[in-house]
Amino acid sequence: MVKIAIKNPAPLGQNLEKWGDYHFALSLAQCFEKRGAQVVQHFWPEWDRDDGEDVILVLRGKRNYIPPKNKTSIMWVISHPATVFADEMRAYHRVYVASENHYRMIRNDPSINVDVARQCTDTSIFRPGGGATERRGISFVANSRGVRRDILAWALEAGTNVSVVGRHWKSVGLQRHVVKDYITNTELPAFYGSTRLTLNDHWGDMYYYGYVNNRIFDCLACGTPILTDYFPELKSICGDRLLYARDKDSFAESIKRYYLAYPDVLDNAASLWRDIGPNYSFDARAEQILDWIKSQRWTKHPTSPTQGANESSPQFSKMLEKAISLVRERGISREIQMLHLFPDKENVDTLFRNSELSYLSAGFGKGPWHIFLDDTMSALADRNLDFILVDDSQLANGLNASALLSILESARKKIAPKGVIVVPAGLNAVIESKKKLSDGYFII
Amino acid sequence: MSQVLVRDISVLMKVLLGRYPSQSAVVELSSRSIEDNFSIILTSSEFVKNVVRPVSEKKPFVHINKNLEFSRTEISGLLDKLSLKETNKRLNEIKGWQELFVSLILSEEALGLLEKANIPQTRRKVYFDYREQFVAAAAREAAVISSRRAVEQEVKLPVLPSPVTAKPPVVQADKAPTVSVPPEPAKGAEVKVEGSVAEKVPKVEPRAEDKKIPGEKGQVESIRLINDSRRKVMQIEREFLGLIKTLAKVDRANFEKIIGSKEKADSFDREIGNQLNAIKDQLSKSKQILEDNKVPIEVGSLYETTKGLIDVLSFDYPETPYYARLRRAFAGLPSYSVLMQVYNTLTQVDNRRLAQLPLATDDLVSVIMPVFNRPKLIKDAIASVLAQSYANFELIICDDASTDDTVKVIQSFKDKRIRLVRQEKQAGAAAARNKALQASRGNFIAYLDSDNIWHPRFIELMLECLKRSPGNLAAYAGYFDLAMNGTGAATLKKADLKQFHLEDQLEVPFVDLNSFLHSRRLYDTFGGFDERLERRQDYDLISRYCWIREPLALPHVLNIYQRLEAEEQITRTQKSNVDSPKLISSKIASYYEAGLPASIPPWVKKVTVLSWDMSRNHFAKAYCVAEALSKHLEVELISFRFFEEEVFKPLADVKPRFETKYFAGGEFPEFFDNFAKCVEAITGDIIYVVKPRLTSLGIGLLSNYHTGKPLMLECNDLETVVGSAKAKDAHAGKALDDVFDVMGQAKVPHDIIWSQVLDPVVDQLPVVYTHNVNLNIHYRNRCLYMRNIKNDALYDPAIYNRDAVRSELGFKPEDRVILFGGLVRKHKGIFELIGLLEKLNDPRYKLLVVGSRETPDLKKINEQHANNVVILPPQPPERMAAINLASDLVVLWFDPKIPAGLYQSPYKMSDALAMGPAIIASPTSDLGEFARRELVWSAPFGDSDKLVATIKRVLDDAPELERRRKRARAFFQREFSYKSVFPAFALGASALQKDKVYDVSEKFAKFFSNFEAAYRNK
Repeated sequence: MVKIAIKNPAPLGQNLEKWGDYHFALSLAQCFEKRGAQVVQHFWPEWDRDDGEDVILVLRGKRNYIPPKNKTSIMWVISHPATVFADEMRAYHRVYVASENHYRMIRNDPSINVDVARQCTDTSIFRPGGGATERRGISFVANSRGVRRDILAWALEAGTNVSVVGRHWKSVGLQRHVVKDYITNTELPAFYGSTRLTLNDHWGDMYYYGYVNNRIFDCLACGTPILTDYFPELKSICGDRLLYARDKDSFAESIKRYYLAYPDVLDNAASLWRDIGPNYSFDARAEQILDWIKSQRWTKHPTSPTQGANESSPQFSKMLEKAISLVRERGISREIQMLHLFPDKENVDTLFRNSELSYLSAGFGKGPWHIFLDDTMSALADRNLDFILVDDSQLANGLNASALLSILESARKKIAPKGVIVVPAGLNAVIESKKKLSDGYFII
Repeated sequence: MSQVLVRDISVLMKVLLGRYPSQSAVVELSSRSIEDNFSIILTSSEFVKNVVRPVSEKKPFVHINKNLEFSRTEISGLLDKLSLKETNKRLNEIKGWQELFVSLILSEEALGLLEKANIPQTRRKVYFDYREQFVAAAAREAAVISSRRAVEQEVKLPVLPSPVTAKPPVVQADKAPTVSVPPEPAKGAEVKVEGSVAEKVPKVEPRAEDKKIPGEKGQVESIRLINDSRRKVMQIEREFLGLIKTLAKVDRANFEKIIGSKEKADSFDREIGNQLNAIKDQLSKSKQILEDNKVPIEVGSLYETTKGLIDVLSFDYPETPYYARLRRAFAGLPSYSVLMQVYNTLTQVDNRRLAQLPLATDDLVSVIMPVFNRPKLIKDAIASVLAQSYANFELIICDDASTDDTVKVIQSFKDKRIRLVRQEKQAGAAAARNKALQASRGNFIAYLDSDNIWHPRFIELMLECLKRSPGNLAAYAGYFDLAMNGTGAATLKKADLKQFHLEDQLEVPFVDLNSFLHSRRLYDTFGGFDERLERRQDYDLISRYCWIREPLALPHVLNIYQRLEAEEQITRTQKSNVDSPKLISSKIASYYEAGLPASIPPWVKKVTVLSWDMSRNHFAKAYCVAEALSKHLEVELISFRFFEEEVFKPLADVKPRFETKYFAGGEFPEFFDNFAKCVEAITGDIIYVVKPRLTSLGIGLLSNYHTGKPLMLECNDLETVVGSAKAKDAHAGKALDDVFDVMGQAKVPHDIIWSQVLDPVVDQLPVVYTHNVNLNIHYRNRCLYMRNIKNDALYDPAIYNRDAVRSELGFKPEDRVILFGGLVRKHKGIFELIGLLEKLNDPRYKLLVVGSRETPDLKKINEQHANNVVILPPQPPERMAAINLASDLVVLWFDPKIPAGLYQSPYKMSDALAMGPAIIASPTSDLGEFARRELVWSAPFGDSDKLVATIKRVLDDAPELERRRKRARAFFQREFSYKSVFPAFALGASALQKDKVYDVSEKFAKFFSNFEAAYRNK
């Protein structure tokens, strides 16, 4: 009997169960166990524990990890794909990415043993909900994190009444639509099962890499129709049986269908799940992973990866330390709401893993970051960010002075009263009022 | 009448008990239970044996022996020992003596004698009545006993048949019949039956003509029984005369001595003589009447038949006191109308449903019974509830802090359906009823006071009646007013049953709370009893519950209200209370002026009124409803613009004080956008849909499907026929999927196909309003009413100057102005009116036409009749009000052959009801009923001679014009004014569930999904 240790990014402590990763791993473990495997869970930060397991399965989200060489190791990238780099992947016997798109980006690297394992749902919990007459209203289960999300903006613009479940909507002025701040995982199936339609969107990086989020599969398992943002991989899986919105006009078109042809919309959701459901359950994933494990000889190990992959420069780390202490000195005690503008690949991982930061990345247009920006950063709540870091990326350097100034002007509106904006010295030339933070970085 | 009786008896008392000559003593004797005692004394030695003797030591103080002679010495001997007061006191202490009394007087002997004692107080036909009922009772009794015995002996014996019901006799052929002699209690009603083993059936001796059918033997036998009984009657009659003679022959000397003076004795003698003469007169008069009228006492007469039915029913259904009481009531001959009522009910209800179960429903009926100190009466009231054929009820008795055994009596009933609630302090009937109402759980509510008795099928019949017509939320039946005097003699005084018109009910009430059953929704909406009222709380409640929608009249008399002299049913303080009537009349005045107060479920804060189109006159109704409701609730009016007019013209310049959301109309598929937007735009808690059209009802159904928001639908036309005015335009309902056969038509959202497929949908909606009896019938009597309402702030005769308006319009004071308002269309009788002017041939008559749109018909009139016809363009509402006030007459003539006219309730009518011109109408739809209610006059359609005659008659009768004008105005205020909207709306809201998707909405949504797909897939 194989013994698997799941490295679970959910941190030990009182918030453990609030992490989606916690429930994700729990469901997965059950499916392994059903198939005769033994499973132990190692929650963050206890990832270095060894319970005599044969296989390490790292759920790669917020935390990166280099597995010990003496174990068979598997990495499953389920979110934040932009923070995972080739070196890290090479340290594993097997890498699963959650999109075909991501898979294609790396499949040609012979040192990475990669396959696709998309997000999925626990079909023992998420089960078909009520019929058309028992379902009410349009819902959106999401935390704002200070970002005005397009799908909700389109809905409100169209006059569609949406019940939002989630936190931090006050900062973007949408608290009146919030019916509940938080919903537990166990309440979620009943909630989806009683809702007529759920709005759905993806963070930019997911969208960029073609990662379909688990909300889609959770809802479909409950028979709940979804009106979601659009990207090709999603369409390739769900076809026309979801409602899509690329902008406010297509949103209006979809909502029209919802009102006029809901029986059809509901049927579509059900038939879609009938067709794809069997492939999007934890059972299917457990089966897939165990199949691979069984095919391995336990002695074969990958080459040792570079330790400390994706380390940012000491200069950057120092700046980060100073910036955080400055924010703390100014009296901000919460988890620091941080925006990483024009993220530099080298620095992303350091910022992302810092436990004092609530990390969001942003750039213009579509890229491997969370938020797609326009000139005025309209997607972001005003006066909400504690720390904006303008990175020294190619992109920032490529902007002309006036464009950069106008961006910084917008950034000023987004920063909280006691927050800081940090720019690298490279932008020195265009910025006048500034003061040195550390070597190579200024505060404006 | 009862007073006469008391005096008569008191005279007899004086003679009997000569030692109490003083007037006060007589009063005392006659006013209380003495008269009862006397009857008992007079009639029963049983009583003496069982009651008096134990009380008064050894001997009875008066007693009639078998020869109907009584011992004078016994009387005085006893009275010497026991004062009368004491006797009374003792009697009252003996529990159940009244019951004993009742049972005693029901024995034949007692009954007969009592009836004789009553002779002086009864009027015409008394003799007939007395003898009749005695004969029937005796015969019935004899036959029942015989048949009972026969059953016991397993022999077929003739059963006294009533001509209407005949219980099948039990036959067991294998056993030999034996000869049976009727038992003693049959009092001479001898039954001789012969039988033999060979025949195995009993044999009677029939008259030759009765030999035909074996089944008739019973009848023959009963006739013989009756004849025997007649002989017995004659005998008793003789004995009675003997009694009177004996009374007259009291030892004179002794009498004088007792009475104290010769004068007094003489005066008593004279009085006795007078009384006796009166009795004799009455007797001979009665006999004469009997002869004159040649009223045969025979099987088959209405009285006989009815009495026979009652006898059978009271024998077969002893669990209800109703029949027994009715039987007793028949001792006093009812008037012909009462007799007919009883006969009708017994034959049409009781006899048709013998032993049948009622229709089973889930409806729990709460029976509300307040009581204060009625330990005796309440037994029968409770028993009459427990004996109801409809078993799914709860009887909630609220004891108003009784100080006697009432509660014990209630608790002695062990039925689980009885719930007793108690007031700690006496708070009056209204409070007690309210307390019971609060405890009630039924969706229907009925009331029974402790001095009333229900027919055993009361609930069953009333529920059935309401189920047949669910749009009416209350029903009433007739009631008997049964007066019982101290001797137990009962008279059915009246059996009231009238067709309903609230203003009539307010004037002289004819609906009694005890024969009134209503939906709980009325209580929820209009509240319970007004506890400020010491009396007439029921009148107040009924007036509120029937204000906005009339109750159904069940044409049977199903409740007995017992007026008992002994019980002070309405106390003197209540009678003299003048505050209550004052308060009630001020309340009613305020209902007319400010509207009937109503409450709606707390979740209803906002209403969405949906009108399918805003360009044409049909928009006016939706607008009026929205406007009227906006005084009470947040309102949004949503509509589409399908035609060239921006908004219906008379409303073009009006600024609504409520929210409006207007969408452009169009054709599918482009119109899907606005269709969906409209579904999304609805924010009301209730959707009030005007007309079953696609862009009103279709939108409403989709909204309900998505949100569970409840719907109300108003049908104010038959949409499938309204569009065209030809006789051949018959209504057709179609299935939703029929739309796919005519996609070309269906792309127009207001095409007739949509009306045809939506009409059958109406049936499946929870609340439907209409304003017209034929529409109500079309929609299976499920509708509440939302009349063609008018803003009463504008439609108020007091704010206009009639003479000024007339002269403005160019009419002379003596002119008789006939008004024609509204859309000029052929089927509305406009051409008939033109022809009429010629027939009237009187220059005073002028026709005033106020058109709404330019129609070809209007054009034609304008060209041809310029002299005596005045044509005005469409007028704003306040101007229409003034024009109506200025007019003398409105003629509403609808061709019954044109379907469109049969389903309308013309605005012209609302206007006229409000403003006072006389209305002459063909009896079409509601107008027939309004004529019966004396609100309008009727004249048959197409008969212009009759119309001309009617016009002249009506306009020449000023007092009647004025009477109907007032009546019509009251009716308008109550049902047609803006004030009527909110209570009607509240009544509808009371039927709605907050969050419920209707099956029909789901069905429609599926259909519409396919309809939308049909375009998408193209």
